[in-house]
Amino acid sequence: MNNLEINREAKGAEIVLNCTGRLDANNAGYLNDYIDRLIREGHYQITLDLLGVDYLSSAGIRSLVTQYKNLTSINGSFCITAMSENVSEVLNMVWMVEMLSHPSEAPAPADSREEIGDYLEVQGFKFRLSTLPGGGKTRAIFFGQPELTLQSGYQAKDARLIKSEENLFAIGLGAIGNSFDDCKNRFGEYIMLGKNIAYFPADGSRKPDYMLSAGQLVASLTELYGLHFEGNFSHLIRYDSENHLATIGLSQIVEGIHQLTGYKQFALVQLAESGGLIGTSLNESPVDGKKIFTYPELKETINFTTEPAHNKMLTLSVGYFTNNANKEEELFLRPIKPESQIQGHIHTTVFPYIPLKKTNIDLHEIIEYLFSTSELTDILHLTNDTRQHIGLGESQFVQGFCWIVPIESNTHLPSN
Amino acid sequence: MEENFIIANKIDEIPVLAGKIEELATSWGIPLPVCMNINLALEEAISNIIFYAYTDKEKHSINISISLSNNQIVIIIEDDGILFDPTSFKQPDINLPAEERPIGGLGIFLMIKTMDEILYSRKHDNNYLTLKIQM
Repeated sequence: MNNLEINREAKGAEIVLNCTGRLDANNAGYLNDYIDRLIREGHYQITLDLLGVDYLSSAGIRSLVTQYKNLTSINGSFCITAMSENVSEVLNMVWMVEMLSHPSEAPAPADSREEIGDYLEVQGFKFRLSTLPGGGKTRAIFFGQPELTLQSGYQAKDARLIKSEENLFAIGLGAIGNSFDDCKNRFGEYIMLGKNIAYFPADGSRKPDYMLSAGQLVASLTELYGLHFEGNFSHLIRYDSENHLATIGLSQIVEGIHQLTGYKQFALVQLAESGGLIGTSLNESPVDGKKIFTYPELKETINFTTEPAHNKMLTLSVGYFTNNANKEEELFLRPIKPESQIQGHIHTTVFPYIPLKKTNIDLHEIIEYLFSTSELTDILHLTNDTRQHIGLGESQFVQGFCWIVPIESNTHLPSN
Repeated sequence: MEENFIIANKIDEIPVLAGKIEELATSWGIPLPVCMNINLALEEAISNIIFYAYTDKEKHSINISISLSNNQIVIIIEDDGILFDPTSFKQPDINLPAEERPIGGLGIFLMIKTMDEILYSRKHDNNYLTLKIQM
C-alpha cells in the first residue's frame, strides 16, 4: 500500500489514531497535519496504533518526534501503544522506542486552581476565572492628544521618548527612534509588551518593526500619544468552546470579563487564537497636516482589513476598557459596539499559530518566546466596523487567555 | 542481474519506487528485511537529493541502478544536483536524552545503520552514491 490511512477513535479525553500503510517522506506530512489539527481542536492526549504501518522512514520518525515534543511542551501526552515489527526495528535503530512508547509524564491534573474559580457561559463559550497570586491594581496613564491624529497635527513638542520596562504595557501612536524628527515619517500604531516594543511604521513599508530589550539595551520609542499601565494582573480568564469552529466577538469577551470580575475599568493583555480580525493601521504618518482620513486619500493612507484577517493565527493584544469614561479619557476610547456603555482601545500583534498549554501559562514567558523565536506578522488597531449592510463587524476569537488588572486611578499627562 | 530506474525529483515518486523495489525483491529472492533496509536507505538518499540538491525549480532525473552478484546488492544513485556527500556528515548523537536530540540528521544515520557500505564520488558534475548490502 502506498498510502497512509488514519482512523480516529475517542477514548475519553484521549484520541487514538489507528494508522495503516506507509509512514514515509510522502505521507509524513499528512500525519503531522492531522495531529496539528487535533491539537488546535483542543485534544492534547494522543496515542498512536502503528500495528498496520509496515514501513517507517526518517521522515516519519521526524513527524513522530515533532509531535512528541509539541505535545510535551503544552503538558499534553503522546505515545505509541502498538507497532509493527518493521516500525519497532527502525525505531530501535535510532533508540527511540523507549521515548515514543511511554506516555510523556502526564502532569497531574495540572493546576486545578484554575478550574475552581468562578465561571460564566456566553454563547457556548466558557469563561473561567482564576485569581493570580500577588495581583493588585494599577494606575492608568494617558499621555498626549489623540485628537491631533485626525488633522495630522503632531509636532515635535507633542512627542516624548519612552522606555520599555519589564512590567509595563502600553498602546498608542509612536515609532522606534530617539526623536520626533527621526521618526517623523514613520509614526504608527505601537504596542509595548513588557521589555518589547513593536510598531507598524506608517511609511508605506507595510511591515511591522520591533525592538527587544537585551542586557544594557533598553527598547525605547518616541510617542505621540499613548495609554500605559502596569501589569499587576489580579486575574486570569481563560475562554474556549467545545465547538472548535465557534468564534466569539471582542465585545462579548470584554462584557464577559466585566461581568466575571465586576471591574468597571480594567486593562488587559490577551493571548488568543484569532477567528478573523477587523482593524486598521496608519500607512501615512500623521504629521504636517497631511490628508489621511479624507476620501479618496484614505484608500492609500490607511490599511484596512477588507475581510476578517489572520484567521487561526496567534494574537497578543493590549487593551483598556471602561464603562465610566470621563471627557478626557473618551478622546482615547471608542464604544466596543454601538450604544455600549463600555468603551475601549486595543492593539493586537499577530504571530503564526503555535499550540498553547491549557494551564500554568506564563505571560512573560510566552511574550519572550513569541518575540524571540516567532515572526511578527502584523499589528492592528482593532475596530468594530458597524456600517450598515457593508460593515465587517468586529474581531472574532476562537480561544484565549486574558490577564486582567483593575484600574484604580487615571492620570492624564498632557503633552508639552 | 541488474535493473535500472529513472525517477523525477518529486517526493511522490518515492512510494512508487518502493513498490518497484518490492517487486524486484520478490523476483530476485531478496529477503523482506533486506528489502525494507534497501527502501529505507533509498528514501533517505533520494529525499535528500529532492530537498537539497537542486538550486532551480526545474525537473531533474535521478538514476538508480541495482545489481545483485555474489549475494551482494549494489545500488548506485546518480543525480545532477550540487555537490553533496552524505558520508561526510556528522552522525547525530543518539545518546542525548530524547527531548534534546535534534530532529534532523536522522536520515543519514539510518542509511549508515541499514547499509554495509556507503561510498560517494563526484564525476562530471554528477553525484554518485553507492550503497552496498549483503543478502
